[in-house]
Amino acid sequence: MATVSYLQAIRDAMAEEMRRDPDVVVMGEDVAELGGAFLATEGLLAEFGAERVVDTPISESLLVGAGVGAAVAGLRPIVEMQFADFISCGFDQVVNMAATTRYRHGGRAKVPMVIRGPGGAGVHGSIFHSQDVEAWFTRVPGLKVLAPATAYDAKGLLKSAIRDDDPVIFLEHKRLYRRVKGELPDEDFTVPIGRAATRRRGGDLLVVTYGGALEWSLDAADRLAREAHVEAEVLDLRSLLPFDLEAVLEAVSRINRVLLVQEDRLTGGVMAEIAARIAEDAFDQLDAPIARVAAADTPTPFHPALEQFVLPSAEKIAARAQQLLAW
Amino acid sequence: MALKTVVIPQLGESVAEATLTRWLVSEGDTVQRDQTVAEVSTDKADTELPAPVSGRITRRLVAEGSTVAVETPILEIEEEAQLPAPSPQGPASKPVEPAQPSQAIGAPQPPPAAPRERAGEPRSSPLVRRIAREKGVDLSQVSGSGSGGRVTKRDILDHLATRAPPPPIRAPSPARPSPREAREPSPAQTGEYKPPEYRPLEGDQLVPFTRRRRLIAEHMAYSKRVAPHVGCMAEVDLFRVELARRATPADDRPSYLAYVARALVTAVRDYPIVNATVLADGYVIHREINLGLAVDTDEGLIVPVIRHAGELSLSGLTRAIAAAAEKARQGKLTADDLAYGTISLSNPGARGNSWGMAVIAQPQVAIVRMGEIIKRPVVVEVGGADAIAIHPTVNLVLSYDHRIVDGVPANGFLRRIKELLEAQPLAE
Repeated sequence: MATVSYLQAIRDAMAEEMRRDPDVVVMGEDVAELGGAFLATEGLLAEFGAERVVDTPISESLLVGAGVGAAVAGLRPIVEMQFADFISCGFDQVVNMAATTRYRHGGRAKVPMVIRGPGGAGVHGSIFHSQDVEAWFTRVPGLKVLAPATAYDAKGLLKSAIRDDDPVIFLEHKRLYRRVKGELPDEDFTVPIGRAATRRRGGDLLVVTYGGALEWSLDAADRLAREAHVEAEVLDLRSLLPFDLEAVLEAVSRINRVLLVQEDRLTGGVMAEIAARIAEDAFDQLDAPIARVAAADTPTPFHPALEQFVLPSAEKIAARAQQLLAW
Repeated sequence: MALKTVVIPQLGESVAEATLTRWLVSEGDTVQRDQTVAEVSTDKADTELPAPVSGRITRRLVAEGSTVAVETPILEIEEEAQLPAPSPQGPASKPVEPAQPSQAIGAPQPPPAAPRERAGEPRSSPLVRRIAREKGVDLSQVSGSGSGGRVTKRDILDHLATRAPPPPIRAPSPARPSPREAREPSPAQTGEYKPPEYRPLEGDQLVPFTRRRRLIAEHMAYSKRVAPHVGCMAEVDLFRVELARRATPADDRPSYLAYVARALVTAVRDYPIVNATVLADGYVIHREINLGLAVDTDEGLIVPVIRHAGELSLSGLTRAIAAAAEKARQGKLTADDLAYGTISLSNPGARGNSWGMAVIAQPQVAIVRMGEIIKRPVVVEVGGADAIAIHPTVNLVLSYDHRIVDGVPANGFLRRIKELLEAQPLAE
């Protein structure tokens, strides 16, 4: 066991998979010489050489397209977006090429590629460096979308993503890179794609969340327990496409009051779909309306006070939970 | 408070009137929206009328048992006032910190309007209403601790925990119990008629069911229960048939029954729907005609089947009928002889009276019964003028299953048999 940061867990996952499988390669802007803007690929060039750790031009379209080609040809490329926001420049290659190749070739071609990159707000990154991009992709069949919130999941899910035969959008949270640490086993492990994890047990309120909002949700749950003697259960989706509907419905059937929390903007977010599924499949399990806490429908402002105003927080989650409990 | 008039609704495309068979509410009763207020029957179906609004019954406008046209007003309900809006600061079960809506994004707008609840019941959640339904809880007996007095999961679980022993399982009742005038339940209402107990009388003879008799009894009762029988009768002039028979040597002379059978199988070609078998979710129209012939024996009625009757000539039918009847009387019929019938013909012969309606052999859909063949005065045309003649005649009664066969093809089928028998010569 060793205590490692969320960032180190990601770095270790890539290094271990590259040792394990010579087909795994890393491509991206400044991933080789510099070791990545956040140093996620630091040390990989020295260990694996320039053939497997490749600096590319500043063109996300080219980067994703080259990844699709390499994957179809038999490699397992890990493509880094310097910021998740920039994936919009490679959008066509992601949704029209990577996601559809298996379908277009009747299953005879596959794209075992991981596109990883830091998303999320809370670090004063302003408009172009703060976006949560998951909802752009959770409605694209052929893709998998993961959003780990712990060091353990960051490592275990990234390994599963690298070993997966389909394109995976792996959304790291830049705010968690160095803040979040975990005790990880020394031996090899993976986390299955499509399974949620219960982070806290409680019977009064169910909080479903993921990614950057997990930390806030757990803080809010502690606050509720301390100040209102209310025990909230916190379910971390981890995997957004596919998502663990079974775990959500099971928890709803026990707890009956549901608060959905995401860092992303409210409208059309991942939780909109979760809410719809709960309403469709478990309406008569609900003791109160489904409630959501999310960011305001606005670009993320630069000024820290404004950014805080727009984003969810433990305080806002706890306040909304209190209202829901009183319904 | 608005006065709402309830009318007999349009209950079907061809329904013009309906009979109010039973009132389920009295004047002065309080009813809830969708509560059944009356039972109504038409020639097509029986149905229940729901209250369109919640309120108090002020007047019943028609008497039980009356038949009235659709759109006739039958009931007046004084609609109850809307429930007062819940107070914004309702009792709450848990301590609530004052929220700060001006600061919190994505949170706390004023609570949305509650879904419509049934009058007289407190507001509640979908979960609570499901629990109430499953456990038989009257929600008006549960005090709510949620906002605006809403009944929450905890409230109903507490109520269940403290409730006296569970109520006996309620018999399925046609309507929500409501105060109405006391009435003795009659057998017709409960649907459980019990014949009076047998008391021996002097000279009684007890006849135990034979297996055959029991099968007949069960078959007949089943047929009458599941198949709505409709009958129609044709008066058939057998003069031409009689002439044809006389033209045939006596030892080879076809019976009247053979003529009717021949006409029947010929008419089936024009009305194939009568030659059918009812299944659970549909019916089969047969091309093959296997004619069941109801034959009287010492042990009771039996129906041997003449296979491929549609392919037999008049003399072929005559021979087949004679053979089947002989086998039946000697008790030599096998199960195969009785199987695969698709339509039936019953001929009680000289003792068949003027006419009668037979019970359909299941799962067939039609049976024709012959009355006795007797001479009757009939109107004929002689040299362009009407005249009365004395001809042998028979009344044919068709019983058909109205589930499958409509009146038009049934009437056409019987009429076609009559035409064929009255035509000259009868088509071979």
